[in-house]
Amino acid sequence: MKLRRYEGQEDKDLILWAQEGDEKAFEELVKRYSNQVINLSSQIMGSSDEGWDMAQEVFISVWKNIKSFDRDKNFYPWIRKITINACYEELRRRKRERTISLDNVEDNEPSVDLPDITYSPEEIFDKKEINEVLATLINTLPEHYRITLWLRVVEDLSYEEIAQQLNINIGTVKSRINMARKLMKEKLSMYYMEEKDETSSF
Amino acid sequence: MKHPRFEDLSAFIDGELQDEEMMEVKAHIDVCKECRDRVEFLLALDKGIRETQEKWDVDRFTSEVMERIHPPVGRRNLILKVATIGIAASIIFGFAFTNIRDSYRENLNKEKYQLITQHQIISSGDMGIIFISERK
Repeated sequence: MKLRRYEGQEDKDLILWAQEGDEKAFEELVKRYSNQVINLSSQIMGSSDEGWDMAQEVFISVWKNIKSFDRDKNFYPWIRKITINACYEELRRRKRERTISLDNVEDNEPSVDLPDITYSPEEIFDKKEINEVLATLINTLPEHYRITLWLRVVEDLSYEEIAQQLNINIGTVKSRINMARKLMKEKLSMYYMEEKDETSSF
Repeated sequence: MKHPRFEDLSAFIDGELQDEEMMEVKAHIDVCKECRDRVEFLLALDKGIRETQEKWDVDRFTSEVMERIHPPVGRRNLILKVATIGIAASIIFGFAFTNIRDSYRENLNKEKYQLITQHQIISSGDMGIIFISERK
């Protein structure tokens, strides 16, 4: 009997074996996609710990339903859809009290009225701590802006694909992404304005 | 010179404007440094956001998932071992108990027989054999 090689094997073959009940094949698929799924679920849930837990639920759901997956399609979009649906279902189930609900989006203008200070990319993005700053600031965005921006920028979905995933119209997608970027720009400007003030006060 | 709105630049970098609008914006930023800087800023922002993705402990995550799907062999074997030992202990205990009980009954019967043969039965009653013995 020929031994199976899992590492480096194409998704299509691993999926076929997993559909036949080969857990090792499924394990390899989990390794390949866990980073993306945990990052995505963390963004939707708003926390790394919850993202980790939800990502586990996602893969267990994937395992239970893997026989229904059409191998001619790409695997990750299917997992991504399960991730988004599972996270949103969990959030709704918890019925958190929020000012802005998940279903009833109010795309408000940013509440902070700042002058439109544009720092050059080099002034901001060449700094050592920029990743940390961006990670902190992105978590301060309202969740529907954060999630929509993440799906565009990190998951590389088109506006139409995002609209389908989130069951909203394309105009709302465009508006949220625009608002998210505007807020990020203003938060970054505020951050570095404060930093400059602190430095100059010495 | 009319500058594109922020939302148009946002859609421009996403490739989500109509073809004609895309060409207009491109033509504008070719000649306008201010708008070119704004586009570069947005592109750098997107790149920075992509780089905030964390690197997770994939091995630990995967083993936790697989444990939930299929508990490890060690744990299953332990349950099997405990069950087997329990059943074996019950059988042994039951067998030993039966043997002891049968042995006791056998000894009891022997004593009864001795009593009966050594003594004369005068009468018997409802509460078992009642005999009045005469010393021989």
